Amino acid sequence: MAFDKELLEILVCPQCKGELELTSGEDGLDCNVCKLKYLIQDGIPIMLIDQAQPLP
Amino acid sequence: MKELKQKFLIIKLSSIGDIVHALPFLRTLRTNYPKAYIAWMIEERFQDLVKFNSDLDEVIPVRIKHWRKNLCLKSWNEINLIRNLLKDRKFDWTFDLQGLIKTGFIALMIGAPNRVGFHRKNCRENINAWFNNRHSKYISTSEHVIDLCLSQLSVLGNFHPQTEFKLTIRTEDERVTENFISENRELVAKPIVGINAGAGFPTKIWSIERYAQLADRLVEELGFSILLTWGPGEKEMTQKIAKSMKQKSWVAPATTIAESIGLYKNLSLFVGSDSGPFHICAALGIPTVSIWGPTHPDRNGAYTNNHTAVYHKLDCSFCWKRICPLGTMECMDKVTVENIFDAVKKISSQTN
Repeated sequence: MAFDKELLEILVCPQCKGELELTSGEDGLDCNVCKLKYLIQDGIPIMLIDQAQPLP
Repeated sequence: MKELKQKFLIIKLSSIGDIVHALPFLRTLRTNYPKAYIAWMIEERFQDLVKFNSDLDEVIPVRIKHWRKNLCLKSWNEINLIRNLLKDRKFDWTFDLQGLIKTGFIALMIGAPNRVGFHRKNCRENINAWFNNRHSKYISTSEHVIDLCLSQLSVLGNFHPQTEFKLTIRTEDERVTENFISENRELVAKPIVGINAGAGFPTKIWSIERYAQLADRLVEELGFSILLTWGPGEKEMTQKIAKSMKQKSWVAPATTIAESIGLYKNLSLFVGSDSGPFHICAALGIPTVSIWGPTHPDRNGAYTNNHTAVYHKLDCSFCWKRICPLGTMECMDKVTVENIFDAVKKISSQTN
């Protein structure tokens, strides 16, 4: 399912409540403060801290 | 700069318990979308429950029940005003947490591009699903109503649920309670148990005599003060309990919903059946002992700890009927004064 970019743009990081950045591959949302990537699966962002991937 | 704000509208019209159960949905939505515009459409008489909630940008009170019964020129004018307001808002998303035909129709009329509703099998009226164009996944009917509401968020993302209940009132809503307490100092000399005998369904009501016997024992054996609370149409029943008691009790003053929240905040414990006051007290974190018959505590009961649901399981239990099909009300009748007294004793000792 295609996801709504405008919705993603107003989502915040569940940990720091800061802004998120859509990855270039549009497969996730990066929090550059917490250094976490929240994956987008089938158009649904997984906004769970314990399932986020650490950013390099 | 482009305006990014997305506009969400929650449609949850009634009643007290159902609205309280939708508060974690609002909290979770707001936590994840702090910049969004969030409004709530609600029956006017219940708006106290959300009117001062800081998670909301707007409360849209409606009088659908009144309009349906009194379809006159004044009603049409009010309907037109609401229609124009909704048109102006241009909501991007509507969340129909009621699941009825009427709320589905309202969502369709509002015409948001994204109209979220329950899975057809989770709707109270299946036809509701026709009006919405996005649906949450089916969840078991044994799941709690709060989880059912939260399931609609699955169309936006996978979020950690915020199971908080914001019940905000103004200082002036506390005034009735302050005055009542200042005139009845003896009431607050001991911890207060609030007893609310009324409920929406006649089948949810426990007998007046048993409430009176229970209240006497709570005073005599556990040293509580008893505050008998009541809502519209329940004052007479409440006064009968007070008259049937041997010990002194207090009948609560008349309150609005907001004022009743201020009153319940003073309780150490609440006793009653599946009713608005029970849901408000549970949301306020007041320990409760509740009596269940036609409705299921796993689905509609308190969501957090410090609560005891008491019921007597029968083959016909949790029938959801307003009138007992057998005419016996056996499920409520089998719950004894001893059952409730023991539950209060246990929960109060744990709380202390």
